[in-house]
Amino acid sequence: MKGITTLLIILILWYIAGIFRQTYIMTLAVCIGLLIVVLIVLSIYQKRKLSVTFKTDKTVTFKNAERAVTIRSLNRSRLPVNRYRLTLAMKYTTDKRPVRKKLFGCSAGKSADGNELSDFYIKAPYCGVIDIELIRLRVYDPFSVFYSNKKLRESGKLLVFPAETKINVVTQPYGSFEDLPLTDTPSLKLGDDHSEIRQIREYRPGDLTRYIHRNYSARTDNIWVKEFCKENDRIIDLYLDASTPEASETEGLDAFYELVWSVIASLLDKDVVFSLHWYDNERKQLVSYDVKTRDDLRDAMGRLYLTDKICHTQFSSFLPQDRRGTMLINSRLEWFFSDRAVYRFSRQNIKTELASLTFRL
Amino acid sequence: MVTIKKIKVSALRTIDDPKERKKEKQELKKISGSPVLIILYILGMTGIAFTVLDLLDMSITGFHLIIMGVMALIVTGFWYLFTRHSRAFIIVTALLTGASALLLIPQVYRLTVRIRMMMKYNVSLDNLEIDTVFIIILVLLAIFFLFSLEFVIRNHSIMLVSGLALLILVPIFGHSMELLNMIMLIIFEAGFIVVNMAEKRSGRYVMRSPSRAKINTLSAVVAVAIVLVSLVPAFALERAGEKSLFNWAYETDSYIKDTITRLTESSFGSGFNDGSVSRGNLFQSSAEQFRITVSEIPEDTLYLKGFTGRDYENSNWSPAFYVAEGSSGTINFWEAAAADIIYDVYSTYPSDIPYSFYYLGMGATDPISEMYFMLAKDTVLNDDYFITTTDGGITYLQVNPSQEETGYFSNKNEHRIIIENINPGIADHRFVPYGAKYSFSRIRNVYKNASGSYSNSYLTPADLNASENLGKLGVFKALLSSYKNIIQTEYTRYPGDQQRLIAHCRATPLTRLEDITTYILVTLQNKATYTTTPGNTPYNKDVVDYFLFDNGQGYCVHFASAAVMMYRMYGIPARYATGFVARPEGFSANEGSATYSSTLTGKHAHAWVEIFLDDYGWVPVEVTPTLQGTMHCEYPGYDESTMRASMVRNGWSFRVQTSSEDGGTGLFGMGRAASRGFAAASFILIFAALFCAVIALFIRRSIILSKLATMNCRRLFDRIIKLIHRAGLLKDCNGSETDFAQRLSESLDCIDISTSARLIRIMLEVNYSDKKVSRSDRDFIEDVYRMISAELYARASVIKKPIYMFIFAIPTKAAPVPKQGI
Repeated sequence: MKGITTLLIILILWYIAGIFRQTYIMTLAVCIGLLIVVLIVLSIYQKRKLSVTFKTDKTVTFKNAERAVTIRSLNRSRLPVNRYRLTLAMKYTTDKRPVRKKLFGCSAGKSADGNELSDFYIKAPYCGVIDIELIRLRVYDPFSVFYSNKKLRESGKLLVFPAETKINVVTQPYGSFEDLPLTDTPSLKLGDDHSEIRQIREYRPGDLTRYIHRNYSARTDNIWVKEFCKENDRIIDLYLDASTPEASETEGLDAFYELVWSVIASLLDKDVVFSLHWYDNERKQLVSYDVKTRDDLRDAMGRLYLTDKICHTQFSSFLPQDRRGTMLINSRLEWFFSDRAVYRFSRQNIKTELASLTFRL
Repeated sequence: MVTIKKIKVSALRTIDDPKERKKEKQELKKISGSPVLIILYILGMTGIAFTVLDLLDMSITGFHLIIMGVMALIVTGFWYLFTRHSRAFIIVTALLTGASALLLIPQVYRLTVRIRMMMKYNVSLDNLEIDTVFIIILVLLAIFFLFSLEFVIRNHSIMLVSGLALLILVPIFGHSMELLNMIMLIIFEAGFIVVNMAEKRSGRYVMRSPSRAKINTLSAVVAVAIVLVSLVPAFALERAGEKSLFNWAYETDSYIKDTITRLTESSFGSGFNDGSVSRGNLFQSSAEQFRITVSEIPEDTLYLKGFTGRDYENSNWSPAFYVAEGSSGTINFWEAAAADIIYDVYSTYPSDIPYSFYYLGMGATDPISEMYFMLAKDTVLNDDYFITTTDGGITYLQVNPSQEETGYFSNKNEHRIIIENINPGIADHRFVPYGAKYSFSRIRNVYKNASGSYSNSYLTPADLNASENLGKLGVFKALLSSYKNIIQTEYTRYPGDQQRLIAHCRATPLTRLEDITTYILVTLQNKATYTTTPGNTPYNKDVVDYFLFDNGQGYCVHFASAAVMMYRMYGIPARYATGFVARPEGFSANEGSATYSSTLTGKHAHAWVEIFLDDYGWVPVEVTPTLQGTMHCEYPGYDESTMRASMVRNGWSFRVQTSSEDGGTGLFGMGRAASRGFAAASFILIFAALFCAVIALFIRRSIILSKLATMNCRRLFDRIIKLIHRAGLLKDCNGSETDFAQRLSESLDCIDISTSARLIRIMLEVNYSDKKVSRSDRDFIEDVYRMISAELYARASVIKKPIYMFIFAIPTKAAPVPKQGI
């Protein structure tokens, strides 16, 4: 439209200059005509020099929380790009059609480093994985009249974790819960008994600095952290079955993830550690992951999100014969413990049910 | 029912905290904070103000410049407050609005009362005086409004449209756009389009960037540079393709009008069926209008008159004839100018008046059926066709009745001229070929014959001389006399606002008709060139005045109008006539009949002059030159030899037309227009060159500075030494002296002895050791160089600063080198 308007302006100026014999206005009309060529060439040149990527390919957020996703633009030309337009396609892995959005940005020239970071914000309504793809880049000339398009194939993932709902779990004396085995698994959990070091391991991002083993680190070039022994943790094998048809819907998967997160997070507070098991369709086998802290939970959920969980065989065939102390949550939102149904949630009211009911294990 | 929620995406984060929101707004303001923007804005406003002053026919004086300086200061003040002290800006805004309201309300009330009173007592509103305070407040508010538009609301659309409107209005109102004003205007437009359009389209989707303000400013500078640089080839292209560019515009103009004419089935081009003198290019419609069929091909051009002009006013001729319904249902054309003579003559010869008047050439029954004609050059008195009669020393011309029966194009059937309407649009237009020879010859049906009935035959000389007809001749003479008196008044009027033409005629007083005609031809030929594309006349200018004294280009309607007025200024009764011309070469034989036809289109339309000659009445005078600039004007008693004789007698000459009709000489013997163009081109070239030079210096500087990071120690040290020498310090040192460190630290405040000692130690290592210099040492030398540069730049005078900045390309700022690092 702006291009057409520019052409119209040229025509009007040329016509007026022509019929009134105005040399300078005619010059201006010719000048704008030349500018069109210059601007088109400029936009093509800048398109070639500009590349846009995600700063990180994975970003984590929580459901209904606003999260910044950072775009990195690298402008290798000397001239700044005053305006570019990015077309994003976003969809949950279970969605068929992506949502397309267009965002505008700018990028400084090479003389000013050329590296530009810009944020946009996403508010995700469901838990799960959002595939974000940068599909098209449109680079405008300085007047934002003409542009040049470039196809992009940059993709990133946004992992949307549930907003935690505290659930009320009551353990019954002499019940299955009490029969759960205790573990001496290493723990970094705050408030643990630090009296006995179980092992030392290399530092991982996220570890608290106070657990750094300074003496040992000083002797070596690496940083090591101490892991302490915790004797009173109970272990639950939690099987996650996302093979039911409900898991193929975004809303169904959202409720499933919410339930899993809430159950694990609530029981972690009750000194329970988990060994999560779910079916990995790529490996064609169950995969396991230990969850002892909330960080572990986030990691585990991230892995769960990114796993193809479609199970073509009966998931029950993967369950142990003796299911005492074994927990199962499936995407029908059924929660079993020691082969006993704890509760079956409804998709619409899961939030209320989690918050208001008391669950006995 | 499950509600499907969508992923929400926005470039803006939700800010609930008011403080954060305020911070965000402050960040946004930074975009407007660049001084480049305010410079562009002031330039643009100056361009607009100068153009408006030009439109108002006001020349720019020192007073205007002072006022503009004050306005620029006010705007800069607004900008400073808005970008740096937003609270103060809000206070100033509130105060300004409040004070304006307080001052404006009584002013507006007073003005309303004044206007009401003036309207009540029928006093022209031109006499309305507006208080200076009122104007000042309005100007202040306008400045504030425009400032808010660009910087606060950041909407450039209104100013963009206004700028374009100004560019269009300037030529429409008869002014030429000044180059400097235009450049200022486009610099402003270019800069602000870049800044404000970049974030257009729903701000929700524009991602914030920390360097947005810098990018905007740099983009604006780049855009302005591109526009200015593009102006140079544009100017060259405009000069090279001037003819084509302007001609294409004219052709487009004609094509549009032609299409409209065809679509609306209207008749002819503007000015050929009415008295409006075209303000634009000649539109020659190719649509067929009518066909003329004749029994013999005429030997000369056949004129068909469709309109006769009486008075000229506002670039328009009022009609000399009006249409009236005759008693027998016929349509009569009455000459308005002659209406007054009815009474005078009627009082003497009551019975003869209606018919005499009717056939005197002042009116005719349906002119199409009468089919009178004339041949333009057929002015030789040929006894075969004409007879003369003398009465009281006056010779009257009359068509020989016997010859008329067989004359060339008589009104007899066998030689009749037949005009067929082709275009239905011309049904209401009647074209009157000139009467048989000249109008006074048609004195028939005037007199009652002896039996008391009206004669239908021509008077013979014997009739005229017969004693019983003397009285009747007296009627004719009285009528003629009255008519001549009337036209002497009616057709010698001219508008008083033609000041330049009046002065031109007064400068050369003439009395003889042949001299007057020659002078008119010489004037027209010297001052104007024939072209069908003279361009449009500005709407506030008179067509004839602009044609003759400003533009110098025109076509028949302009030449004829100017000539009519010049004749009138010399007291010669003259009329403006338009119609069609059928040239002999346009006729072709019709199959199956001994007739010839010519189809007339809009291209055959023409305008000419009629002057009143004794004995002849109204005769056509051709004043339009050919494309080559030659004049062919003949009428009874005037031909080329007369013209030449008159020119020799008065010392006049025709201008020799050259291919470049630019009206005079200018620089280096060039024409004035070419000279103007050369001057403008030079100006643009110099301006663009300067601008490019500045940009190049900036780019060079940024390249050199960016290379500093990769320079090795030797080059950095070399730059340090050169810089110190250029500043006039330690000119006797080359850095290898034993006391160099000591002297360096003494010469510069930013370098202490430990710093200079480390510098020398590193350089010794670089030059005399195999050990590779560490990165930190190299960075240290770069830091020292930056510090020395910054200090020397700070010490430099205002004149030297740009040299340091652009020629030496040194860094002007440097972070102090931490002592522990040294």
